[in-house]
Amino acid sequence: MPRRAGDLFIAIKNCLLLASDEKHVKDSPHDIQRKLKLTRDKNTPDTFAIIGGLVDGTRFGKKDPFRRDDGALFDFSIAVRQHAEAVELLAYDFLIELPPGLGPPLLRFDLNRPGQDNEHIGLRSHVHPGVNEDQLIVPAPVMGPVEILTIFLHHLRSAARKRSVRGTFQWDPDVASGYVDLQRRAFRLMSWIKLSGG
Amino acid sequence: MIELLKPRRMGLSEFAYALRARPSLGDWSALTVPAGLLPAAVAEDLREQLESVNDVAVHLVAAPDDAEAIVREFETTAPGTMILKETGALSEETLRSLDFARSRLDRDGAVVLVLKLNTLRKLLHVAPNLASFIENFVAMLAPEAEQLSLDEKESRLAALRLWANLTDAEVIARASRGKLAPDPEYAEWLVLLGHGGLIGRE
Repeated sequence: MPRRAGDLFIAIKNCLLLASDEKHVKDSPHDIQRKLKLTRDKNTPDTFAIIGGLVDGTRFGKKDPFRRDDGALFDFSIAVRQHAEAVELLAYDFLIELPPGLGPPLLRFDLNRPGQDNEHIGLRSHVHPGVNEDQLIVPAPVMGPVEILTIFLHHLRSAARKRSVRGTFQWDPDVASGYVDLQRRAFRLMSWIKLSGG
Repeated sequence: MIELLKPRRMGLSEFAYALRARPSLGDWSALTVPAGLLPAAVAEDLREQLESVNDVAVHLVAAPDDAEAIVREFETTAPGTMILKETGALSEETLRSLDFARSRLDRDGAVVLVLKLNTLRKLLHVAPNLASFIENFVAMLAPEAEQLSLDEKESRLAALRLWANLTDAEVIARASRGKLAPDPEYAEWLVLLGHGGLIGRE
């Protein structure tokens, strides 16, 4: 992860601008500038939120998601804290609504705030497949925001395996602990389901 | 005259990305910095951003109020993009001298001037050749362009209140007591309310 929230913001923006250049999204560079915003906590200056596709500039709170070339729509919100060495991901919520024929109608990648009650059972980072509620929840690795966007832009699409795409998905070693823990967390979840009578 | 140029207001990352799309050889541009910000600090951030989107070498060069010293920088800086940052106010005399020495300002790479608005105004009045170099791309830095505006913040807060059926005060109170649901949306909500310090310390 980068050292500053501003650097993470720029990495996200460049990822989206490149996708616009290459026509993987319908949004123009101007649209991307408008839809992607950084905000700093006024009382806690080391804490920031990065919001993408969730702001339409009105007071009605409508979403204004990014539009993929095949009709998929996605948006996200990220909260981070700056430390001397790197930015810490505090929480994120990435939602993609997929066009018909791609399986689940939507996928939501969540990272809950640290210290919450589902952390000890390996569910702080999880995916909601197909439903935008908590009925179905699957443990997932903690990923960097650019990694999730790369999946959204290039991989969760029809014939992705056949296409040669830029932005090939790569693990970020700084957030890789999530991957290493994934299997252990899945086992924990299974144990928890058994204990809960599930 | 600056009005004739119609400089675009841009965030720094937008400016950096727009530079990337421009031809590099001998291509000039200017970024003006509003009062309260230092051109040197903006230029340093711009260098980092250009390096993140560009394969071309980027050189950050100080521009003192000395035309001959600036010309020497043009002649000795390696090829690549050169960001010329204003370190002290450039006088009209220096700008006139630079304009007169324009043939010595040719270089193999793009040139970006990072200036105070007043300096750009002076340049446009006393250095017509330099003005013609930059006229195709002059931008005014708008730091707020990348920030959530007050209206946008209120829009997001309204959406979050509707989603959770909670008030801002209830969210803060629950977070303070460690009773806030774990959903990630609450993290954004707390940051927007200026209580991001509670995240992870609930």
